[in-house]
Amino acid sequence: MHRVALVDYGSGNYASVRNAFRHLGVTVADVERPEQLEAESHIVLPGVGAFGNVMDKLSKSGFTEAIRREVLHREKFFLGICVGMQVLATTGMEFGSHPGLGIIPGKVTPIEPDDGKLSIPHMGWNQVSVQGDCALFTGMDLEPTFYFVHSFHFLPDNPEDRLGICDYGGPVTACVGRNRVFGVQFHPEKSQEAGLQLLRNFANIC
Amino acid sequence: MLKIRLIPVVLMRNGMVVQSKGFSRYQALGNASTIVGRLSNWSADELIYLDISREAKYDLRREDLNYPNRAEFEEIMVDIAKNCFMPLTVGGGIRTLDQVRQRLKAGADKVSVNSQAFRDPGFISAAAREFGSQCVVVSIDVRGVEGSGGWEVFIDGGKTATKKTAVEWAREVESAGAGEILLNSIDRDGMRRGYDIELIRAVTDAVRIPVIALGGVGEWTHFQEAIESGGARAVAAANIFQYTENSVHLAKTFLHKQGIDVRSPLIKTVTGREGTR
Repeated sequence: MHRVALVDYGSGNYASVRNAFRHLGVTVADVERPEQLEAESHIVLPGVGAFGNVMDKLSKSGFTEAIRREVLHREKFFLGICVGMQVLATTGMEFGSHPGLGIIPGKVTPIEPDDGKLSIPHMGWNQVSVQGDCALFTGMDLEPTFYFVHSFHFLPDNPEDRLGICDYGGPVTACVGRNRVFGVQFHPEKSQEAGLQLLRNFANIC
Repeated sequence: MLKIRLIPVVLMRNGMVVQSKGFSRYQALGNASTIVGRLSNWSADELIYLDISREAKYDLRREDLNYPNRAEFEEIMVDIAKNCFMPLTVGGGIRTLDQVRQRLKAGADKVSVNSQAFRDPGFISAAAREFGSQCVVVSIDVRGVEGSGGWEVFIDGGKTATKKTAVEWAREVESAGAGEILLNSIDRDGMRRGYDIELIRAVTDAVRIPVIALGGVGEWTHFQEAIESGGARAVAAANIFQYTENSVHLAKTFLHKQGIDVRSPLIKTVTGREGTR
């Protein structure tokens, strides 16, 4: 398993993601400065909260440019979790329009279930139908179940970038990916066995 | 669609895990880390961890008495979070936004609030604004009112009557911004006769947010009743999970076999450093 670089910019779920990797025996590099990313092969970006807030924090700490450089030009493996996945988009529409990292073209928009009885946020365990062949889901059931907490989701411009969906009064994006870049809307660090398997799969990609 | 959740509840009192009966009698079961380790089974969907020890001490206005206990509680929480790869809700004596923040920082995903929410419903809104409604579980403890067919809300660990009905209060907490309701019947607590299904139905009919049923489970079929007849989106229990080995898994397997839409109880082995718990 590879070492993973965990970007520490003050995200609420940082400790949980770290605990999960360490439980799996994966070495975690705590990355507090953008230049630390240069030496790393596998980058993980956790995230909770609002899109704009997360982008603000990433930009102020210099991570926006560093992540773009490492991912787009140096082709590092990347996994974004929850809002860490959403910020891969071009634009986020939460509390106004905010530019994202622009790594996977698309927009982050509110979930609008077609059943008025379904409450927002979409919170709980939901089954993901995996589209095509994605290394993150190796060794899992056909429709693994993960834990979600979110009110917005990622709509990629290119439908092929959408690697997993779940049903919540209509399709909700659960996973996006392109080349070596992946993002999951759910929380693998809170998804028991399936979540740990996904994190381990990421650490094993090469 | 979302799965029905099965949630073990751990009750802590003065640093020990306890069984509770009628909110008045408590029997110590043992050390928290050991017991939580056992309940943090792959089949559990969430864990609710409630500290019910501090109320009396606050009443004495001797917060210093509470210190060793509190320290232990937070220490145990950090310990639990290291090996608990599912959502963790923490409650008991939460009165300020700072306390909410501390618990989230220590590894909780949600907090459960009760008496403070009743005394100041603005607290629910403030917590929902700051941390998101998904973080705010309002715990509602009720007793049946004789002759009326209704239920009255009690706070302060079941000691203080409020004159408010369960349905009224549930609607109010929903509009204040609560993300979920943890609904507990004091009459059924520790009785093993099953949940109060009429209570659960009355509340699930009144609100849209998920209702977690608690109080009275004595056998696995009681979970099924709360889901099918009560409309609960999550079923929780404390004592019953202490009686048998691997109880969370057995309960989950039962629900799965009954055709209830729960997360699959089938376990694969995740190799890792799992002996560290």
